[in-house]
Amino acid sequence: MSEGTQETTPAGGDDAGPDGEQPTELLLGNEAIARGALEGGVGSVSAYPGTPSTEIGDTLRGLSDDYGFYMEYSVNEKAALETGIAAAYSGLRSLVVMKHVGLNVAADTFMSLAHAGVDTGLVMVVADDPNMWSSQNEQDTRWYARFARVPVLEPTDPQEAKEMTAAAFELSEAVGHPVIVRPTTRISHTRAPVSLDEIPEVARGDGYDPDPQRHVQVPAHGRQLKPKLLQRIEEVRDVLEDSRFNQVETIGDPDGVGVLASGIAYNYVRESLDWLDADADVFKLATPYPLPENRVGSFLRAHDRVLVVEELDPVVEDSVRSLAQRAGVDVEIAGKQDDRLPTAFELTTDRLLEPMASFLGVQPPENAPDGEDDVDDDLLVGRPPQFCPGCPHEQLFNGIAEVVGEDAIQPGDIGCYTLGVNLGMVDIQFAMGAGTGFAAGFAQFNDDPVVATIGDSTFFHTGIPGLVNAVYNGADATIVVLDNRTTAMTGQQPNPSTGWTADGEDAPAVPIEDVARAVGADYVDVVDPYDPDEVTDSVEQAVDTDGVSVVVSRAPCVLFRQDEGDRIQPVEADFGGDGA
Amino acid sequence: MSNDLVVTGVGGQGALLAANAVGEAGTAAGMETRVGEIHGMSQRGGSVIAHVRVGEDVHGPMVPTGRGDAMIALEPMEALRYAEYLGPDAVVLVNETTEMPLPVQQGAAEYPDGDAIMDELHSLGEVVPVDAEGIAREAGDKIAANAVLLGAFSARVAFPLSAEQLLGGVETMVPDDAVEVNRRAFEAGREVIDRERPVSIP
Repeated sequence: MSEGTQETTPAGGDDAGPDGEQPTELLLGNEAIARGALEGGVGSVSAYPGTPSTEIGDTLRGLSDDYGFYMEYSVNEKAALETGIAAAYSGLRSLVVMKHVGLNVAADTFMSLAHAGVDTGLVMVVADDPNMWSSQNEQDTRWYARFARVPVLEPTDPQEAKEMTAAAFELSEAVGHPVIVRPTTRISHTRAPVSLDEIPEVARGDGYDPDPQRHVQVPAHGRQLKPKLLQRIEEVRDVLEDSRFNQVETIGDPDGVGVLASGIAYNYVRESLDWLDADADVFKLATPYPLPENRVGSFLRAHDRVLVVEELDPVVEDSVRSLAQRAGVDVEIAGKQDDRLPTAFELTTDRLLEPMASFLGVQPPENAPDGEDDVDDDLLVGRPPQFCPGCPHEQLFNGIAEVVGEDAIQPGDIGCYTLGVNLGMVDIQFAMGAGTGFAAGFAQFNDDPVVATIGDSTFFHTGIPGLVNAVYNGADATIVVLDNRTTAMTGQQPNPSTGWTADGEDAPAVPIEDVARAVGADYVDVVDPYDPDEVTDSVEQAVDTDGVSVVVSRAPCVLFRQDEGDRIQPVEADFGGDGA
Repeated sequence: MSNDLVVTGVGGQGALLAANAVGEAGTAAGMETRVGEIHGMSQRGGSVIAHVRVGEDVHGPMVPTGRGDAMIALEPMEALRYAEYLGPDAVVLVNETTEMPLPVQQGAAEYPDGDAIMDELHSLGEVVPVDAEGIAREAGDKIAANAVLLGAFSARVAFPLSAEQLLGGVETMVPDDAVEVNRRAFEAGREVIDRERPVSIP
């Protein structure tokens, strides 16, 4: 089969069953979430791309004209959330999409949003990445939900992810509060049959009606808002007591044994029970925060022993233990806090099988996975990620290496160019935009030259404040911006260097060299990374210049689609023609 | 009970496409279906695995280790890399053409001996080597090697999807102008397996 545009059937057309049943399509979890947003009447989508959340925006960006919603890739997740809040406050149902670490960037605004609440629905999809398949760390977004007192829904599969996203708008409006949907990698990147419902017409807002008592968060107002927040989250808890996404089912003859499984962990619990041929009551929990305490309390009271299974941290388990203590329920609770279940990395049936068997008092099967693959390692050679043939980043790194050798301190950043670590060209990399901040900092405390590398999308995301910090505080550092004119690693999304927006409209590109000059960098140059002499001459001058130097290395990504007709990639899940 | 297949290969060979073709076939047949993939760092040239589960009672997106009923491998070493997923009676359909990893291209490592890889695979399950790339080239395009292996899979492995259903999945996945080549590749793959498809369907 050749790679290429996938042929799709218009949803709701000839896929409909003979009895007029709902059409069903094989959808990626992220496509299902995009579909759920459409079925929920979304009026605004703002996102910053990041694995495993990226395909949500990529699916929706090709459909904004068809369905009449606003779509933007924001410069970062905080800007995305602010656009999303503005949309909701202007009367449009608003979807904001990011990966887990993106919520760190948006957290400041997020905390205030929880205090203010919403009237029109605002749904944040925050995709967690257990196992760090494409991330610098694992974070459990459910802590953020609890921290800010914002409800979080956790889907079990793509079908539920779709339904939950649509329902999250209803919940948000019913309780006047933002709602988080938390998929993890194995939801976002799993395909499953998803039944499609109608897409309503986008409800237009009436515009912004200022409400300073709620929206201007000065201390006097904040003191009014905090008690209301505490009250509102209890109202959410009451509403979630009746959530249809929470279900209890009885497998076999449980005899006082219960398992409480949150989100995707439910699948692994069910599979383990099948495999072990064991019995239990299973509580499929879709609302980890706030915990529906009446319903969970009844489950605890009805059992002698309950195992809590969830991916990453013991968020639900801690709440359940707290509830049992407060309610005086005499029940044995097991999970991560008694070291039965792992806290690091993603959960799998493989990893759950033995702890489940031990909790249930049954023997694990003879052919249970032992974690050994019995394959002779000498027969395997790794296939590490690599620069694409002809990548401008690789050329540029070679040029820097020629000038500074191994002497320089080299902060890096997040993008394809992080692969520079394999060339010995990245010494430190923590977070988006941190490279410029590290450049400013290390230059204050070291005599070796400091040469930082950062991409265009990352520069706009959070790299600019570190550059200003370096200039203003008198650092002697060189910042090389690898401007390939696109957000390459996540699949070629446009950013302010690109010259067009998420929906393919022309936009004035922001020249990075102009930004550098405007903030007062001492040396600013633009080079062609494919011209080795130009690169080495400029980097040499930059390093020799006292103060802050910015070298913009400009060449489009070799995969960059530059023709106007290619601005929006083909949408894999073509929902066109359905609904409205 | 689910029927579990893993598809492995190197980024750019169409392993995900093959997995999704089976997923489309399962969906069209009204079965519970899951196709588990990993995106992001698995770029061109990287190692790829996709999990396909089809049946009446499918839980979770990943084939547990030691439970796979079959593997379609577009590259021999990639078959071995994911051998832990093979169940005791698993069938491995493996393309014979090797793809050199970057460390080998750079001279930092050597590609393991091909016979040793096959011997090791044979020790782990039933292996059906297929010259998928050569057969695909004869069918019109070597990139259709995945369709050749799917055809061989349809003829060799007891799976609750017919050859017609699997071919339908392939046709759903490929662009219009590639349907003919892929159909030929799929049929040629079927012909490689010279015995009848087992009839037992769980």
